[in-house]
Amino acid sequence: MKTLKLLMLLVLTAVFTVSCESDDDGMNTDNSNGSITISANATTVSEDAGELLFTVTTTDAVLVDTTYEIALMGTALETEDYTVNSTNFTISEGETTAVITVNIIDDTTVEEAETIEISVISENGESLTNPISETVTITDNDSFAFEAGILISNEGPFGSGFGTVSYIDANFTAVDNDIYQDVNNDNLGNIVQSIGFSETNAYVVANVGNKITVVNRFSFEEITKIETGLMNPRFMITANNKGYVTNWGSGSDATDDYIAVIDLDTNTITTTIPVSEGPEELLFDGTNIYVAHQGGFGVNNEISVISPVTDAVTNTITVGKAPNSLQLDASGNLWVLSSGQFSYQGDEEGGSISVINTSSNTVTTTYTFNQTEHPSYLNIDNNAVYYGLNGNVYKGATSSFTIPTDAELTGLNLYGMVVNDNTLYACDPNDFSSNGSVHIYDLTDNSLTTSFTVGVLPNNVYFNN
Amino acid sequence: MWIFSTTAHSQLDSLQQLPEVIISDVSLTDFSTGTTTTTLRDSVFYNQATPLQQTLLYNSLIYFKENGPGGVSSPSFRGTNASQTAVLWNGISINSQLNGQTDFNTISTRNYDNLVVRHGGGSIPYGSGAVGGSIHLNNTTKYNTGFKTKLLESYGSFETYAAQAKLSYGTKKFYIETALDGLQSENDFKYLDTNLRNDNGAYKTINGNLNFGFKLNKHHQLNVYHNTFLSDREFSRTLTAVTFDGYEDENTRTLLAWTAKEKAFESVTRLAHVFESYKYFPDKNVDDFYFYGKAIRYVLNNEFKYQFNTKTSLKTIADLNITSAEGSNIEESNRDVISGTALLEHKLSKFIIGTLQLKQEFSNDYESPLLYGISADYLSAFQKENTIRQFGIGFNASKNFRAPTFNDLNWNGAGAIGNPDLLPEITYQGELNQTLKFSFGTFKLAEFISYSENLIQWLPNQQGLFMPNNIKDSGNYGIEAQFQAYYNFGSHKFTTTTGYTYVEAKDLSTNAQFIYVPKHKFIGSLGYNYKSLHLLYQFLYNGEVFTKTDNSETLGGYSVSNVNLSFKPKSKGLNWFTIQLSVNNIFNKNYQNIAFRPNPGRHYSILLTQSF
Repeated sequence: MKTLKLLMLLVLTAVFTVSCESDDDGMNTDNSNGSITISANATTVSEDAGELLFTVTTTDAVLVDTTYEIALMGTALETEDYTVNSTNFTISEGETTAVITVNIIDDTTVEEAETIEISVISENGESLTNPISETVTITDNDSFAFEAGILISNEGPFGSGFGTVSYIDANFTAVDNDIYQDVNNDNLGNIVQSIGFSETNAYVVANVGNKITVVNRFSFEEITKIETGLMNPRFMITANNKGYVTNWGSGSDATDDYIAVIDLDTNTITTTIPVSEGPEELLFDGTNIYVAHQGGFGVNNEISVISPVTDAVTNTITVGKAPNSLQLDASGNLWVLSSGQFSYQGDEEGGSISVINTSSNTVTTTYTFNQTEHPSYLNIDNNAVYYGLNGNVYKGATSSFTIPTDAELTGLNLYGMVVNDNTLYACDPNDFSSNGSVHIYDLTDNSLTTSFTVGVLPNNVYFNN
Repeated sequence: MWIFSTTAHSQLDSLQQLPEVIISDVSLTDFSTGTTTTTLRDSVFYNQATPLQQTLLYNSLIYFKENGPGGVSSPSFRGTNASQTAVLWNGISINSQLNGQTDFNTISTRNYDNLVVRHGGGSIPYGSGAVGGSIHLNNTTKYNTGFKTKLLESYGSFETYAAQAKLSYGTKKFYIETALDGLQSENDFKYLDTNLRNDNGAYKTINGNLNFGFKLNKHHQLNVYHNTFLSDREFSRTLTAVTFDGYEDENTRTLLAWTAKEKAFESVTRLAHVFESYKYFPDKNVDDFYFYGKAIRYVLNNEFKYQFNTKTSLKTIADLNITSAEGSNIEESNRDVISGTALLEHKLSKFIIGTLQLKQEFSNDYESPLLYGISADYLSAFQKENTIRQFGIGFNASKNFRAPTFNDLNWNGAGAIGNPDLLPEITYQGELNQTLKFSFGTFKLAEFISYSENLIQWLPNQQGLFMPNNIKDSGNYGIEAQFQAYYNFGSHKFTTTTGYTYVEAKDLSTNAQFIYVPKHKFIGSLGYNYKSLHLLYQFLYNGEVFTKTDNSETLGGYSVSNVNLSFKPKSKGLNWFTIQLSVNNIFNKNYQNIAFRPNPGRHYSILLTQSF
């Protein structure tokens, strides 16, 4: 009788102990956010880092295997930018940590930096009242082929064949010729006269081909072509989300010259602005568009001032004959270089530089060259004025300018010239029947840095950076 | 079928069978030892397309740079450039005084009696520009021929119409001939493999000739020759550029020749008036906006040949040229040129003839060099039973020149300016040739070499204006091979003519081959005749050319084939008419002679002639 009572007491004790123990376990796993944390092995990783590790830590060791569910948030997308093995992870009995492995996908698409945010949202099936999360930024390691460097427009042979665009990288290590053909397996048309730019696009103007090819300026992939409404198109700029293209019209009609206005969202010509003969280069100073009327097939001496709001000519400024290039100086003044009149056009007249105050739109100063001097290729860089004359490059200062007598560089064969950041890019047409060259000069010591062979008749240099 | 000869001998032999024929250009037959000449009878070109370019394209080894059918066509003879081939009309040079060239689509061959292609340098007898070779257009005076009429009508693809009428009357002392030849075409052929058409390529040309011969007595003869050529053309677009260009040419040539012939001497005195004019319209619809150029030239010369004995003869040529030119881009200017030439021919042995040549020219516009040359040939004849009937070898070497043109010296236009200090271009050239005549045909071979200096090239000067300068040197060499044979099998007659030329022509400063000078040209024709039926297959292959002076780009070679089927009745009642059907570019090849300028695909024509 006494043994039986002892046995029953033992069993009861055991039962109580066990149940008490169970009760103890339940209390131990009620981990609120104070006792679980998540961290990553970096705050920013590159696309090619491979793996990204998120570590979840509990303050006390868990008494049984505990499963947590995670949510994937952030601008990066699962399966596109990264993968995870599962959206659940388990901390084993007696452990305090678990690791979530994220595999980052290294693609070749050019993207902006994206974020991955991992949030622990439930524990053993029960939602956490305050979920914990960690965010990591994934940076892109891809670039467009022509993102950082210079683009050169090559006219190509007149009447037959195509113009091309060449690319030289910013470190001047190599030249890539005919990039549009390589990317799109198509051509740009006859005589590539110039390229206009918006923030993202390049507009390649084919003068004889009468078309503009719209491409992404960094990848040179074609977006569309504008093939109607142009007649002898020459140069293009963008302003106020519109494109403005100078057109000479027909060679035998001096009155049909115009500016074509392009809606940059639809890439169609929405209106035309009639202007006087021979509109060539244009410049936008933030308020007005200035168009230099070199004269086309004749000779002209005007600058048209156009409002990009009303798309109408508001003013015309008289300058020297055959204005061929325009630049702004640091004070906002407009400098216009005119080549003057050649002897076959009448009485020979030398070129001139006109400085225009852009608030009043009047000429404040004029500098005149000798009768037989016809300069071109005006550039303003670092408060210095540059131009080309008879194969030489001359330099003056924007403040207190006088026509220089000594040349900076001599003996060049110029068909185009651009000065940027103390570097001079000279376009050399060679014998006009074969590939031309671009020569790059360092203007700190006027030495030749390097030269590249480009396409036929290179005429201008543009910058992508 | 064409015949060719290395010397004058065989040509004169065959002519003796015909009614008396007087040739206007005597230098071609005399004093031409050691030169390669190819004669094309009018039977070769009369029934073919009339522009001179088409005739020479399939029947000579000259390479043509063609701006499409009807467009500007310029020759490259033995690798030389367009102003180094001279064209002579009845002995008078007719290359443009403005640009030194002849546009081979502005010469209509149908009105001429024969054409001679003279290979190699000929400046000494023919003056400036005969450097790579010369083309001679000849009318002949045919006495005792009675009254003859010839009519031709043709219609072909792309609305191409041609017609010609030739009337002549010859008595014992008097000969008169007049011919009028017209050609017009819409020329709007489709560019194969595209949806474009040659929509600005229409052309029309009119060519009239009037020739007159009068025998004053046994020793003296008077000849008058006249030619007027008018054309109105549109200049074709290319694959990548549309054009609206129009172009008008007006050329007239008039020649009065007095020939005096005695036993020991022959004298030909010539007085000629040559007029050329062009108008270029950048927009053919705007009549009052154009650029023009014109030149008037008077020629007075005397060719005096004295026969010392049966072995030796001397010819002296005294020549005066007065030219005045003006244009939109050249100021009115004049040029006077006097020259004296001496040619000495001597028969060294039964089969060997040698020639020495000398020429000095004086001009108010440029310094002319002393020209000299030497040539000889050996021609032997074997028995008729031999397989080889004739064997000939020859050589010639001479110094030749090309004078700077009015455009070179006086141009003043957009982006370009002339250079009044230019010197003539000088070429030293030499040739070796061999001929073998068989019973069934002839084989000819020529090897040539030349060195040119002071070649004029237009390049931008310091101010960016294009200006000509004597800065280029060139070296050319190559071979020409021609083969002609015939075979008769009863009434079935077969003939074949083939030609091949290999040319290296290099700019000596870069050692690069000149652009648009192919290394290979091959021509071939196969003719079959059975009674009244004639079948002709013509083949042309032009080799690959460079399109950039740094030889970084090429344009592929191409071949073209044409087939003619004609019916020429022989029976007495019917032999007054012929009818011919042609299929050109029979294999419909899409080929370009100039980059981005397509040519027509397969096209057809029908041609009818009547002779009384």
